[in-house]
Amino acid sequence: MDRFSKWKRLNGMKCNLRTDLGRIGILRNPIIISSGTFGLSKPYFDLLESEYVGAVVTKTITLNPKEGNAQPRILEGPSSMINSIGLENPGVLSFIEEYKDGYGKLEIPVIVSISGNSVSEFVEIADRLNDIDGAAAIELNLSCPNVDSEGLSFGSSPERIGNVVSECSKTSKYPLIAKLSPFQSIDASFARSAEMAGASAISLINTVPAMKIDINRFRSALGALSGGMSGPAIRPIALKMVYEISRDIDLPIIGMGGISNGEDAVEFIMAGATAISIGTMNMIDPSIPKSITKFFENFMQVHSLLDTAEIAQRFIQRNS
Amino acid sequence: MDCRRVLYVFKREEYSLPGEETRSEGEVYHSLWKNSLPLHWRVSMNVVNEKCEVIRNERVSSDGHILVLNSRDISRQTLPGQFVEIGCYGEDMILRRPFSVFDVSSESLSLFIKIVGKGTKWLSELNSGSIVDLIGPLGNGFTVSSKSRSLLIGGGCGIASLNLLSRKLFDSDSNSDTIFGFSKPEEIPQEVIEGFQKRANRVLVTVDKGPYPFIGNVVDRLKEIDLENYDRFYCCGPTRMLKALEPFLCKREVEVSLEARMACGIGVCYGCTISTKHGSKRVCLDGPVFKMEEVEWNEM
Ligand SMILES: Cc1cc2nc3c(=O)[nH]c(=O)nc-3n(C[C@H](O)[C@H](O)[C@H](O)COP(=O)(O)OP(=O)(O)OC[C@H]3O[C@@H](n4cnc5c(N)ncnc54)[C@H](O)[C@@H]3O)c2cc1C
Ligand SMILES: Cc1cc2nc3c(=O)[nH]c(=O)nc-3n(C[C@H](O)[C@H](O)[C@H](O)COP(=O)(O)O)c2cc1C
Ligand code: FES
Repeated sequence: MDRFSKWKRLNGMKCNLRTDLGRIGILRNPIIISSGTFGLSKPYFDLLESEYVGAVVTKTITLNPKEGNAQPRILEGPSSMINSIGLENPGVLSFIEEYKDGYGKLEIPVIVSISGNSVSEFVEIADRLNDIDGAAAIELNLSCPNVDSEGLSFGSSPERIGNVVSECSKTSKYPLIAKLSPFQSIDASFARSAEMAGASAISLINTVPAMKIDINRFRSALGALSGGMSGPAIRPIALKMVYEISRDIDLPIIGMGGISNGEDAVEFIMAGATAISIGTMNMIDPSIPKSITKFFENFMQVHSLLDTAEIAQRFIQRNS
Repeated sequence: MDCRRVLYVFKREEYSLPGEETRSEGEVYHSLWKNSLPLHWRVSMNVVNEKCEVIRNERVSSDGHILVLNSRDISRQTLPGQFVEIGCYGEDMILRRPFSVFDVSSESLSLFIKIVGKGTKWLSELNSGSIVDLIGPLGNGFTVSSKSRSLLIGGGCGIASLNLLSRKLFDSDSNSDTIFGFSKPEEIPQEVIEGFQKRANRVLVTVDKGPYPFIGNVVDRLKEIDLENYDRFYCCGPTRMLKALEPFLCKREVEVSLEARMACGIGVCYGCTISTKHGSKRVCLDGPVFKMEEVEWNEM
């Protein structure tokens, strides 16, 4: 088929945004809402255009309820925000109690994000989550600077990451996603270790450690000393990390970090992400999933591409 | 093209899946965390994202502007005390800015903006015809009861939410008096104060630094007033002022409107929480109006 007739054929049909996340399943759309930026409050429901969203990730749930950090928790930086929420959440038991009438009623696949202070805490949460029905996956938030009894954070070595993933996969009935951050070294050993241990996908990236000082008050501008930076400023870092890691592992990658429009989303797909996730910008402009969907449809039609996998393939052909 | 854009608004029946009973409103408002059901949300309304055109931008004091915007969807639903989040587009700005609704009509909505930083400066420089992006109405509102006697106490930009409140109280045959504090005489928005004078029996104004007939803070002026004359108190202003008022008013019916740094403004990010007697609450969703007795003031 020549290029023109392929274009004509495509012009008559909607391009395919269905996204295969392997064991996690097939999403109708590669757009996911990131952990911590998806709520279950009425105003959010009013604004959410669920037909443009492939899946949502819950705020990270811990074993016991967490109060979170001191105020202020939000700052604005150059093209970015810094947050130090501190994982405020009601704990896994309340979450399960409320799941049925809350997240469980959404028509969109729900990924439950969890974090713990020790491997056994991760396992216990994963075990308790076996009680809920119909979640799409569990995302292990391995990038929080939580320290365990040995004074090391989970993300600090590939072995520790592998250990959490393999212990959880023995317990959980759900596929697991390992969420990494850029302070876990940029080489792929961390992601590979998660893959070997049985993860079904990798999420990249969590916020970048950051801080700001209020010079007139001689103190940190955040209630907690430091926080995590997100938003457009971290996009190039995230993109490079997705690019590097996707070369080395076979698992689907959910790419995120500063995605704010369709161009950014296509960049992540070219760098090797199977799905993309939106955090900060989703809170600022709730119509972003729709505008990204429209951009994808248009972009794929203009370049005669049938699905998002073809976007990635064409990038690889031109860059190998 | 219509400059208003109403995003997908859930209609009540759409909360239930096909083949299921429609869920009641109380359940619809269910939010994930316990104890977080908004106090005053018995009024059915929808949060919308609306593009509004600037009709007028007027300077009303040395650092205060009133921005009048054409709006149908937000203005028609707003209760006194509710706020909107405005997208500000300038160098290094990414978060929306929260502003109380100063006044509404069926076709327009106005905001009182005090210039404090880059976002408020950007807003104060908008020309008529510019388009701004609003999300609202957000949060709960003040309780307005008819035929009551109220005292409104405001500081700085706290005047904004009290303005719409005073109008609603006036319309519902309630008597209200007002005390306002500003830091300098140039900061007093004369026009706005005159508006209050038309609707209130008494309007007392005070400044921190003179020259002005009354120098002192709102607490000093509160001492001139017989608190027994009022059934209800409404306070809006800097946290410092609200904290100073607490010992005087704590035994009474007081509603306070709080400020916090916000990212989402819709209850999603947990950026704006405060401590209350019922645990942590989100200012944007559970507030900004709280009962004074509910707030843990020593943690503010
Ligand atoms: C519910 C609510 C209602 C408000 N109503 C009004 C009003 O009617 N009129 C008015 O003039 N102001 C009001 N404010 C305060 C107003 O939001 C801030 O003055 C404004 O966000 C400052 O933005 P900036 O870019 O000029 O300042 P910058 O200091 O440059 O802002 C940097 C960041 O800090 C945040 N921030 C700074 N000061 C405050 C503050 N006091 N409260 C919350 N966030 C802040 C900004 O939103 C921004 O994210 C209200 C705040 C809240 C929470
Ligand atoms: C306010 C806020 C809260 C967040 N909370 C969580 C969280 O609870 N768990 C988690 O894994 N990531 C959390 N994140 C990180 C995001 O999920 C995402 O990885 C990161 O913000 C990068 O994407 P973005 O630039 O599109 O926001 C949070 C981010 C923000 C801005
Ligand atoms: S500002 Fe996000 S929860 Fe209140």
